[in-house]
Amino acid sequence: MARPVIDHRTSSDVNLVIAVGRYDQAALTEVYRRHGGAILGLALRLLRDRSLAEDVVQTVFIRFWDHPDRFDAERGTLRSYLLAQTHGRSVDLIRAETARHRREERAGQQDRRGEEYDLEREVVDLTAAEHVKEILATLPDGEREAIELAYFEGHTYKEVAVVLDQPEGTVKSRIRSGLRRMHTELIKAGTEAPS
Amino acid sequence: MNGHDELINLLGAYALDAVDDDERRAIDEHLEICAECRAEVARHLEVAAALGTTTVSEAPDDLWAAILSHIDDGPAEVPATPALPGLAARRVDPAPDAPSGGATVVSLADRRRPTGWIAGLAAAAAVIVILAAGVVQLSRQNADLKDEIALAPPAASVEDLAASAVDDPTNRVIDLTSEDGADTATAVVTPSGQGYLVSSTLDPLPADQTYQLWNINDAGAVSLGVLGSEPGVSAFHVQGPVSTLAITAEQAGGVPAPENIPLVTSTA
Repeated sequence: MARPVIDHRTSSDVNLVIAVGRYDQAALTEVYRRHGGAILGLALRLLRDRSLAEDVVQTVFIRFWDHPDRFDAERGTLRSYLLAQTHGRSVDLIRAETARHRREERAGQQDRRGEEYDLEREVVDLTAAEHVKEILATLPDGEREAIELAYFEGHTYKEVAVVLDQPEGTVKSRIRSGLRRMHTELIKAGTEAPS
Repeated sequence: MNGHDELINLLGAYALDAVDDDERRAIDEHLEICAECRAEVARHLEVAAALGTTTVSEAPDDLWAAILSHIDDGPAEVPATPALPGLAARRVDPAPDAPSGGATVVSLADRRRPTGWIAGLAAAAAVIVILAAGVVQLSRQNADLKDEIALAPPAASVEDLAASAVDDPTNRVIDLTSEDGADTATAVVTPSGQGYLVSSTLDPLPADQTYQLWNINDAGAVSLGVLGSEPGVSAFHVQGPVSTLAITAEQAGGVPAPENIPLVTSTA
């Protein structure tokens, strides 16, 4: 007997998570459609290696498929959860020596060839992305540099302290105050991470 | 390093994966018991997510195909030999190749996780899935494992249940109104905490927004449900006493804490 059909395109993210909890592949497909680009973009930004980045995306989705229960709606949106998983996995790779070597090699190639992968694939939500960049740019230099080095370069705050030649306590305070400042500005601008 | 005051300065770095393993473990443990720090980390993670979306790539179909090939045989923890009779043959009908389009409703008996988490998620986000075509209600998560219910019609529609709840004098009918009285909504809550949004005059929202229902008490606002952009009769569940009910308009998918002023609220 035929089963009824659900159109997941109108489902909320939380309902998609519940459907994934029932091993509904179509729900996972919709999660990928909504958030796959952001996840791949972040992994590419961090790792600068398409193969490594796609491995991370696969890992994130397979883990989500196996353990959707690890998403906690009280701790943020599905997109922020998936991006956090992506960032964590990417940072693990960055901190592994072999991946660091590949990443640096790739970065060197990019310096010579320009941002090839960006031109190939990127579809940027210019309005939202530019808004976030503008807000980041308005932070005091110490806060902005600390956040950029930690988030986009995968450094620990202790490593950031060495890079910036600042006390560790100063760096962790600046990261926190910078994020709080950005949150306030994002709320004002209505540009919080799209879900 | 276990105290709130010691850890709070690390929460930003924690949200950016910029702490070492010992610090991460200490914060993870602390977050289990500290709602204030959980809320702060949630805000930091939203900022991190915004940073993460400054560079968005197109999600390629071949990558999706690769992911699908890995999950096609089911999750790793599903045993090859079912622990219980009747739980074999667990795969869902194949999803559409393209990342869009319709999906197949799956028998809950076919798709069980060792959970209570879905109920928790549903309570936290207050989602009761009501499928237009059909059939599946979250309450069935607790149904007998041997049932095969995908096609069984629900005993009563949510509209019928809501109407019955309103008629029962032991239940509490709660009226919500806007400040100027122009908009109203009505909810009903049973003594066990089962609730229904019965009606509302709220205008439809754009597709990227949703109405969200909250129970506001001294501890803050607890989400009771994402109502969609055009709320009809909806079911929700309240844990603990109902204080003030409120409905806000939020970004689609809902938010963990209200970010906008309530459009309608209940009176004491």
